[in-house]
Amino acid sequence: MDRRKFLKKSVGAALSASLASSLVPALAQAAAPAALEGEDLAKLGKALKDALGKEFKDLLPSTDVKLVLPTIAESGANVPVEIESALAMSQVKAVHCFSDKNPNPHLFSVFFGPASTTPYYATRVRIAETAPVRAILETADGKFLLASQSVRVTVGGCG
Amino acid sequence: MPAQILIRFNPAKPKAGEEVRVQVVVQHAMEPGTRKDAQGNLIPASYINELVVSFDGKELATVKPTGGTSANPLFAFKMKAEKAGEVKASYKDVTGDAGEKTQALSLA
Amino acid sequence: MFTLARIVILVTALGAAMAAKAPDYSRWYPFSDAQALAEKASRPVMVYFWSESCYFCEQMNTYVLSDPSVSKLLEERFVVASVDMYSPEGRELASRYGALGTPTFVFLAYQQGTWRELGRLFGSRPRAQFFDELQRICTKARGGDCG
Repeated sequence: MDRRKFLKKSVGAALSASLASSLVPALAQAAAPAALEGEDLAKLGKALKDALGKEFKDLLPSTDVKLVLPTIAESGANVPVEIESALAMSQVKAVHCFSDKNPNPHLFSVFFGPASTTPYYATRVRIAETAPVRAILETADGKFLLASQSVRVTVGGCG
Repeated sequence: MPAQILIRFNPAKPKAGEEVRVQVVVQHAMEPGTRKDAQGNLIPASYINELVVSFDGKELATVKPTGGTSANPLFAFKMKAEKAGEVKASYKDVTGDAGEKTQALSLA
Repeated sequence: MFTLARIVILVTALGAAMAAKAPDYSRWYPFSDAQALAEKASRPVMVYFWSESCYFCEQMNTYVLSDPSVSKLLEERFVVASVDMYSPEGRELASRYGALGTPTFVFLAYQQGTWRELGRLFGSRPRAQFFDELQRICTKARGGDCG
């Protein structure tokens, strides 16, 4: 018996939001980065402090961190996340991942060992509700480089 | 009871010097400790909080997941395959359960 | 006279129940138990229709119904009935209350000797929105005092 016929109430909203986000930011974000959808810096900040002893302002937004995840998740229970960097392995100590609105925003940390050759990690995470995912790359010289992207978690029902 | 661990390589037999994706899947519920059962009671936390992957005894990476990692978790890494050898994955969870698996990597 | 006797019996029964063990409102009950508890405690019932295979119920169970502020409000002001929509009893209740899918939340209150529907919600919600909706229902049932 397959009851998974989703009545996606938010599809309209999700489509218009993704349309908006693909059109608007090019202009707006150049000047000042717009707040990401579902952002909760207070909750994230506390988790950063607990896990890394850092504050959000200590993180340096950087194109050296590549974060790959879907913009819309039909199921927040299983969201694929990929974190990669073109930096040399010797420059990378660890990657950490957070999502602002999870009960525990800290999703995982990965510490690379002596046998690693490539700064890469992929997994699947649980996202409680629409919020940014944060990939933080910790460099060997103690910097914390940041990449962020919001994922919209579908709400709805089964009928 | 230890959970089942699957280790796969992509490509299955890399050439010497080629990059290989090491994919570890553990059959584990990863109970986050925030889920209510049908009687409204919280299901106690039971998730993997450490996974160590090594190649021929040298550590590739240590992952520290939380309940924010999905059920039947996937952990994937990339490494340059310089030689044939053994990949070992071992996990521990917050209830004290642990398990490990070794898989031979051979070159083309 | 009759009403008075009834109140006395009710109070006595309630007193006995409380002396034995105060009901645990943090957990969820089968429908008829929830109704009985709610009638005694003058609380509204939240009938939660769920199904095993529905991800949106899973989402409610993992993040919304377990959220500290949501579970506190439910524990302090409501009685929760947990109904598997596709069990025999669930099918019967679903057709009685017109629940067409899961998750559905039907809110009932015992007023002037009969059960009345206060409202209903269909589908999962983010935490803050579900909390606001619960407060609205609670205010409707109790005329305030839903802090």
